Amino acid sequence: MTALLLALVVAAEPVLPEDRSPWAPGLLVQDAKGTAPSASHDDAKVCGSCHLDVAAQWKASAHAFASFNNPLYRVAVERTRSEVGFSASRMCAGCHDLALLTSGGMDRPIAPADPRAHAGVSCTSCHSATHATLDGNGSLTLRSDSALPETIEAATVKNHRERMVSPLLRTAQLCAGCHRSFLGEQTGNASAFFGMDDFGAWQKSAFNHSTAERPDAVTPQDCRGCHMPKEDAVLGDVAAKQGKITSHRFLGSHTTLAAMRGDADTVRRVQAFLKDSVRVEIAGARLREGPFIEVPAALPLTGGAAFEVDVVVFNERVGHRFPGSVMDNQGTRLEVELVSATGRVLAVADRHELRAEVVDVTGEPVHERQTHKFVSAVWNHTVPARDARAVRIGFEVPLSLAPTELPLSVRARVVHQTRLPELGALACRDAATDRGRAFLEAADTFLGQRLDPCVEAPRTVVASQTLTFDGSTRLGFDAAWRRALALSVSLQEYLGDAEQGFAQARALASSKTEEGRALWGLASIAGKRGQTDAALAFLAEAEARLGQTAATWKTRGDLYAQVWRWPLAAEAYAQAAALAPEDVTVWQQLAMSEASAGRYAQALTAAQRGIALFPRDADCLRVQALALMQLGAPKAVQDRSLAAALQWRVPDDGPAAKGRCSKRIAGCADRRNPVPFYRAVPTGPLATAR
Amino acid sequence: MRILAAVVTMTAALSAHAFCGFYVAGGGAELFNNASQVVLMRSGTRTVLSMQNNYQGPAEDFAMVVPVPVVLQKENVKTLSKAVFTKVDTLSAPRLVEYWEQDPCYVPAPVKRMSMRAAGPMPPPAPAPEMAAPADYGVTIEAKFDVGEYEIVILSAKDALGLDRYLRDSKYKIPEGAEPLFRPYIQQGMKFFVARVNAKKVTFEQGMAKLSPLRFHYDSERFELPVRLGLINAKDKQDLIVHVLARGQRYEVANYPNVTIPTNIDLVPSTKNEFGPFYASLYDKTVARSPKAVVIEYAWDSSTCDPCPTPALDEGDLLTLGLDVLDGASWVVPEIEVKNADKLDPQDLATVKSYIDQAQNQVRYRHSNGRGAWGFVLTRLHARYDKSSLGEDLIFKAAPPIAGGREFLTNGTTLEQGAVAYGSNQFQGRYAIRYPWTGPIACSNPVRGRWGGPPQGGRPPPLAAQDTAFAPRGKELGTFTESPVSELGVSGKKQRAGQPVNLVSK
Repeated sequence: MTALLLALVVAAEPVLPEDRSPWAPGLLVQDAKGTAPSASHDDAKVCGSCHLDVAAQWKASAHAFASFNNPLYRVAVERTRSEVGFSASRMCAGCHDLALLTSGGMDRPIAPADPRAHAGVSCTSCHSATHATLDGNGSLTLRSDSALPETIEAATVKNHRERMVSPLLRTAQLCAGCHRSFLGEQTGNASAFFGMDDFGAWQKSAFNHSTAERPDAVTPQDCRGCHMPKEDAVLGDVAAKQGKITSHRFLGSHTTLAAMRGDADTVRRVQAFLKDSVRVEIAGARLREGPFIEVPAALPLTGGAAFEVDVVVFNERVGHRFPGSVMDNQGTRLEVELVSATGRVLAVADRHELRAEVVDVTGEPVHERQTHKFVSAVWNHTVPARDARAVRIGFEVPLSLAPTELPLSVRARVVHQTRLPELGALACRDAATDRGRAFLEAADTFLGQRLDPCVEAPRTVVASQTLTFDGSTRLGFDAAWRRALALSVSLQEYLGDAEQGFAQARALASSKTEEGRALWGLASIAGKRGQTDAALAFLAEAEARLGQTAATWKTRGDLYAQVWRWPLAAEAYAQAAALAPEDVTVWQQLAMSEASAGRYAQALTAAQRGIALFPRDADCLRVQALALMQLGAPKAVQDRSLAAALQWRVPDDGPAAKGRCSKRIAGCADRRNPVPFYRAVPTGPLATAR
Repeated sequence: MRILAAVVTMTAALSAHAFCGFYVAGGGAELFNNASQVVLMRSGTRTVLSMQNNYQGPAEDFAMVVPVPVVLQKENVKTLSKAVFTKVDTLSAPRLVEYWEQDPCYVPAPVKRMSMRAAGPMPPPAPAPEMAAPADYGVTIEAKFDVGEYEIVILSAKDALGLDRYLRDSKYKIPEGAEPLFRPYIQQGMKFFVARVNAKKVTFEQGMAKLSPLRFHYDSERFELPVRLGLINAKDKQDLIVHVLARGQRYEVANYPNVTIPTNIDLVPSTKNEFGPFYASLYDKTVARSPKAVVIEYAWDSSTCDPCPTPALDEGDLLTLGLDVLDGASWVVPEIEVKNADKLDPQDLATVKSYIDQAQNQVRYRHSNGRGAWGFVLTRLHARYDKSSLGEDLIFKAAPPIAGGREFLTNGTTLEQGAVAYGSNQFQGRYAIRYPWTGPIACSNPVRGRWGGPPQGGRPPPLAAQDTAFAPRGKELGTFTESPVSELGVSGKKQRAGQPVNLVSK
């Protein structure tokens, strides 16, 4: 049997990332030569003659302004074209500019009045897709035949419907084609860089039935479920059913683009969509150097007191990381204030940004989307789906406070802005240039919308909490759980805080499920600290309450792997993979455990399952290459798999670039701490305790 | 130092210290690592790991293979002077002090009490920081591919994936049983650097070579010490001594039991010549009571000590051990470019770069107001194990401050015992030989148990127990002790430490 398996393996082809597009590094494929059917800004006009509601919704969407008609995108892609060359920009065009890409336009200078530059992600960009891979960078196959019905006869319309509404449209895989991206040598980067991956984040989340990361119970949702809900068809769209149509507004978080377009209605809709998508909580506090206590227990916050709070941001209902999309250029911040009873703000901590800090090779942060300079993300404070992150804030209460200003409160808010101000400023400056003005005028001509890149970016308070430390409110299980979850990504030596947090959650549990989750948390922390026996005991207790779950199996695998009990780790990961087969992390771990145990055939199988989910996964590609070497695969196979592993490996120069950022850029090192600390800055001429 | 040399007698090197990598050589002979020290500095995600190793094997070229979480750059690897390791080891090692009972009839002049704190002697004040950045931080030279006895080879990603192939291509023989131990590091994408040693540049004494300490740094959210690979070159029991330096923070291990070494034990005078065997016995009995435990031997502010077998660590020591790369910028550091670097002689360029480094460090120093070198806690952890008892990498955890082993009288009468929670770290393994007053007692209310220097004046320095891995083992602890060791159930000739022995016999 083993010999047979070995024979099959050595004959097997490696699973390698997709690279057959003629427009690399964009990965679009077309089934026949010619301009993609989405090559025109006329799509909306043509389609909209029957699909009135859909067209109107789309015209207000970010998809409509995905091309050079989007000032933020254009300044970034034009800089890439200028500094790296036209061919590199084909990577962007694989999703943003199908019309230009498929007609060769990306390889030449682009005139502002070129209609292809204003096409956006139009109707046929999605409705002509026949196949999608999970590679990203536009990894779609488009059909080239006509999309329009030639008559209105029933049979023709039926054919049109079948042509336009393929089963692929109902899958998240279609979205993966463009909501996952990567960079590499072809885009002018020194090495591989993986950026936006909303699909991957969703894929391994509880919203996709994947609960290997943690025990969770949430109603599953896919891309369409959140971003394309049913909406009243008010204009008489022929595709409406019972007065409803699938929304093509693709509401997300782009308030800035809507504001540039002067579309107050869309700004309002996006803000409503964002509201309460995450939760912010003040879930722990201590007087200086004291122990962290249950919040909101009473703290004697009088003049001169020094205290710290744990502020937790929990991603409640965003199916991917919050904020999503391009993580390097998000303007979302956490604002935490110390407020007196009269409403006076005494101190502010607003430096924590929910985004990733990406640096170039010199360690300099890249804030204007010069993607070709991306080397490594130094820190990433975005929050995965159903996960939490914590920030520790230090306050000093002013010495002299009038009695009327007591009691004091702490107010925490998550304030969303779509992009970093630097990028907005760049687009604004560009609007004053001849070329910038020409593009804006062309957009007005083609789409009937005049954009103002200098408009003030809307601020959206997504979540807020104000807490007075008077002991009046009790902490519940959920808040304790979320805080512990947030602290469980602490530096390894400070995981004791998370341990205490899960113990607190256990004490507050009011059901078997809650207790089981807390016990799982204790097991997870003990495992990370190499306390195998304690972790196994907690896991057994957790499973007595939760049953055997993907999370408990995955954690069992993690703790065995931590102590190098590879066969046991592999067995546990295999169980987790069976329960959460779309979580690439589980396949990575299974592959590495099998390989560490010297079972290369099993390692290869697991690695290839992982590659199927994330074709450029560095761990799975590495294990595949090593396994094929060990199994004696033909040299050509070994070479190809090794080349892929080396091409998509974690960049060797990443740590050095991060180190340079730490050394040169004020605050860079401190923010690398997964639970960063910020000292609140007093407002006004107030005397402080120290 | 002469006393120390006499006390810590080297015996046959049957024991071995663990270290964070493994040796390979070209021949088929077995290679052993028999002495290692590790000093870790930690702040945020930054870890600076310095290690000093010895090598026992044929006098031919060999190499150390060390796994690291990231591909190191040349500037991340340095060689250090051996002196700094000796200093850290001496400062934190268990120490033997001698006390002479003062004249029981002596009436001290009244002293105005300044504090309600401990009655024991205060640690000496920390040395004032220099107001200018030192020109030489003790880092002898930036690691080059050929420095001292080393040729540092930072493996490419491809070579790291095929480590065994790389080693064989380089004509090294991989020790038997090594592959399963380094295989997981490769599968997980760990990186390696290889420090190739030119045997002609190393002095072999009795088949052993002392190697220059190596220092490297990296960033990681994990704080672990990879010791598994050290077992490849293990012969017998291994001793591992780990020092951790971190601001305001003591450390323990998370994945093994922690136990503090029994301290403040009075010893019989003859122990002065057998301090090493005494400590080995104390250590072994402590671990026998707490199997697999890692022993906490020291936790104290690195800029002070009491008593001090050697001066406390100063800024230069900390810079040598990693302070120069520990902290991130909290201000702007000038970037200085040499525009004609490509035209300069390499030696001249190196000189210029050295000046640039100094200038940048002076700017850093000015902004830090000297704070950068303050507040470090030195933790010393000691493990002794073999392949069956400690097979996992050490995982560290932050721990609250403790005190113990001070000449501190609880309730003003009883010498403190064991380790207690305290506001700052002041714990050490301290053992005393106490000479009772033998002169006449001519007063009506003699006060016994006041300890100080010898009657003739002067005071011998504390004696540090170093290299206890090589001390004779298995001696009966009770033959050394005068006072009880309550943690180990050892009774003493007197009721408690700090008493003159002849009081008990009354």
